[in-house]
Formats: sequence, C-alpha cells, structure tokens
Amino acid sequence: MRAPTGISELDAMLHGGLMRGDVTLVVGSAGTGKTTLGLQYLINGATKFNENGLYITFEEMPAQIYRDAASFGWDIRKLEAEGKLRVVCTSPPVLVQFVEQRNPIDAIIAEINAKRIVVDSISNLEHFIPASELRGELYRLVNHLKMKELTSIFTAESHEVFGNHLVVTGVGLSFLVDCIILLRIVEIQSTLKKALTVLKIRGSDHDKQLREFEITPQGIKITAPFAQYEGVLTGTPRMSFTEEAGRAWGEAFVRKRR
Amino acid sequence: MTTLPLSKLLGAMAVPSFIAILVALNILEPARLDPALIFDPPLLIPTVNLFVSIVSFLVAYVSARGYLATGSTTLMFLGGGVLAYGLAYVGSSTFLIQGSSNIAFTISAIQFLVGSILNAVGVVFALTASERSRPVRGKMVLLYVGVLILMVLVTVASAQGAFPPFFIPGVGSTPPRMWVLGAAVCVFALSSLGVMRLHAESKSDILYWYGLAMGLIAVGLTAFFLQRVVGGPIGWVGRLAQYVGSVYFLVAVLAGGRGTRTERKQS
Repeated sequence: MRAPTGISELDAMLHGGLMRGDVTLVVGSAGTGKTTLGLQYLINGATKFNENGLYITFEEMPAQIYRDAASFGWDIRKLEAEGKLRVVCTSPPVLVQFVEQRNPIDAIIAEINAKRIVVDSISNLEHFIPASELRGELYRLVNHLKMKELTSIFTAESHEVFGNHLVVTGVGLSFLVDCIILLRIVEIQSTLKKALTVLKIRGSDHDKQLREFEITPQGIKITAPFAQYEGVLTGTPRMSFTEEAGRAWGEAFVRKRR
Repeated sequence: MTTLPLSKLLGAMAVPSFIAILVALNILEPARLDPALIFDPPLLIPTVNLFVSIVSFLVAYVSARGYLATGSTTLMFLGGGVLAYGLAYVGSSTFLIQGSSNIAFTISAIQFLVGSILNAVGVVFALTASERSRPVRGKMVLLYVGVLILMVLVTVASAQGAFPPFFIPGVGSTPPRMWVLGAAVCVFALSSLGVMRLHAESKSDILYWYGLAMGLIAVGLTAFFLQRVVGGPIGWVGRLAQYVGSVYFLVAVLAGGRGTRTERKQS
C-alpha cells in the first residue's frame, strides 16, 4: 500500500510513505533540496526496500549527478551496475513520447523492473511543449505512470523564494497529482532555514505541520516543526504572540551584572 | 531625570489608593455590618473570580513558554506560583457555590501561600542569579503538576476535616487562616518589592506591571485578612484590587508580546 521514502521523519509525516502507484509533486524554489529528496527516495528504494528506480533528469549530466550523490555517500554507479538504479539524462519531448510509443525509457523500466521513478524537473516541459497542450500532456504522462504502477515523484520549480503568494505550478499540475510536498526557504532571525510540509495526499491523512529540515552529509534530515512561529509559508515568519511574550519575559527577569 | 508616562503613573497610583481605602474602611466599618452594606448575590463572586483564574492561567502559560525558550528558572517558579494563585480561585469558587465556605477559605488561603512562596523563589532567583540553565521540560511539568496535585490534596484534606477550621460562618476568619493569609500577604508584598527593584535597574515594562500586580494581590489578600463578612465593603475592595492586579498581569503579557517591546534603559 505504501512506498516508504526511507526518510523516517517524512514517512511519519506521510503516515507510512507515499501511496503506492501515486504521483507526488515536490515543489520548491532553487536550492531547496528537490533533487536531493528525489535521489534519496530512489537510493533508499534500491538499498532498503528492494525497489529499483529510474531517475530522469533534463538539467544535469549524469556525471554531475554521480558526483553530487557521492557527496552524500550514495554510489549510483554501483547501483547502476547492479541493475537497481538507472540515471537517464534526456529532453522533455522524449519523456512525452514515451507515453505514445515504445521508446528507450519504457525499455529501461522493463529492463530493471523499476518500481520508482523521479522526473527532475517537470518544469522543463513548459519550455518544450506549447502551453495549450501542456496540461493534456501531463495528464497523459501521469496516467501512463500509474498504469505502469510506478510510484513517481515529479519535481517542480517554484519561482517565488519568499512572499505571501504561492503558486504550486502554473499549469494546474497540482490537481493532477495525488500528493504535494512543498519545500520552502524561510528567514528566521536573519538565518535562512528550509521548511517542508505535506500539502495534500489523495485518500490518506497526513501530518499538517510545517517542519524544518536540513541537507546533511547523509541526505535530508527533517527536524522539529516550526511550532513557535506563524506565517512561516510567507517566508518571513513571526513568533507566535505567547512565544514572543514568553521570551521577552525571560529577558526581563534576567538581572544584568554591573 | 526620567519621568513616568501617565499610564504608568496612574497604574502605580492604584496600590496606595487601595491601601488608603482599606485603612479608611477598616476604621469606619462597624463591627456588626448593616445587611444593606452586604452585596453577595449568588454566583457573582465565583463568576468574577473566573477572570482572575483565566488571567493567571495565561500568565502561567506565558511563563512556561518563556522558561522553555530561555531557560529562566525565575519564570518556571513564577509560572508555578501564578498557577497556584489561579487554582486557589477555582477551588474556592467551586466550594463557595456549594455553600462550603470553610473548605473554600481553607483551599484559597493555603494555595495563596503556596503561590506567594513560589513567586518569591522566582524573584530570589532573579535577584541573585543572572545565568540560566538549560530548560528541562520535565522539571517544569513536574512543578506545574505538583501544584495541581497539591491543590487536590489540600481540597481532599480540607473536606475530610484534616485542617483546623479556617472560617466559621457568622463568626469569621479563625487564627489559622489569619496566619496563613498573613504570611501570604507578607511574601507577596516582599516579592513585589523585589520585582520593582529589578525594574529600577532595567526599566522593563514587564517588570513594572508584574511588580504592581503582585503588590495589588498583596493588598487584596490584606482585605480578605481584614474582612468580617463575605460581600462586605472591605471584601469587595480586596476583590477589586485583585481584579485590577489581573489587568496588570495582562498588561505585562502585552508588554512582552507583539507590538509593545520591552523598553530597556541602556546604562
């Protein structure tokens, strides 16, 4: 029923993991960790859950992916050699064609018996497919992946780094996918921190809290919720009233040495 | 030389004003009060006391958040003290409604004393130590739950007649209540002076209003000490002092919260 991501805190937020066969959208601005999350999902699938995976990238060359993954201690070349993972650098039109006819991507899925797929990033399709056709193409892609029973992650770039306005995608993709995970950079006490929340899961309950996460040498590590703050999604959160009052009281009762 | 803003000046006037009224009433009020001067409709006192309890619980909550955020031991004890104070009103109001005035006055007097001691411990920490310790949630929970358990134990013990009578209807307060309440008055008054001394150093709005609130609690308890009849003029002056004290607690919370940051005099 569930496909655990292997990131224990995220799996707890998802009440066990992604729903098997669903399409999940991971949205975030540049530098929020979308690629790391996608790779970690595939690496954990291959190494911990015996589920092979396919990583499709439109932006980075495989060598760059191998290098970046190595910095987290993930040996993609080894997993590729074992037939557990495959990295494919291609162009968006190839991905869309794979819905219509047999092509190399379909062949790879069959070859390695892939159960997981990450498409990084779906935003690139906007540059290659006319806007009037984009939603239809995405709809067909989502359905095709579901028919193949792949548990998929699409990454998508959000243009707003900060601000009150949040557009998940410009083409209504949020309605097509089953789960949305939002990654956001927020400023707290003049420090940039990363926040993660699960916006929706179709057919399942989930943790609604906004949690801080870090990209550690072992990958993504989700920590405490931003319980003391409100308005975190605006990028410039404020402390809750009682928290601010409590801190001010703590300061007030400290006697300064003279 | 700095001058106090009008709001602060008026705020400070409340304490001597209530003391003056109490002194006057204590001199003028006859030993046997005319029934026309007694105002004690059923449920009125418990209802207005609810305001004091709610504000106390808010202050205890803010103190707890402050302790967890800053590790200030002072706040942990102040929070426990204010919680005990708020619970005193909940307990006494419950038994007043049921007509068990002795149990009500026993619970409130003992809880007032517990509250005053915890507040004083907090103030002593503030006056003697500037370092903070790492906040330990368990310690704070233990203190708050301990206050709650104590309240239950005092209630049960009082209902079982384990304490000497604190209040005899028609006669008034007994010496045990006088002692307990008198001690609470003294401890609250000293704590108030301690907080005002801290304020003199930092000019913090929070300390100013908190110190005055404690002062008004002391004045209010003094009135309960002196009152001969529940619902008499002295009793109402005491209750009013405590309600105003609760308003000052709220001002202290607001001073710490958004929009009204603490003013600190840089020396």
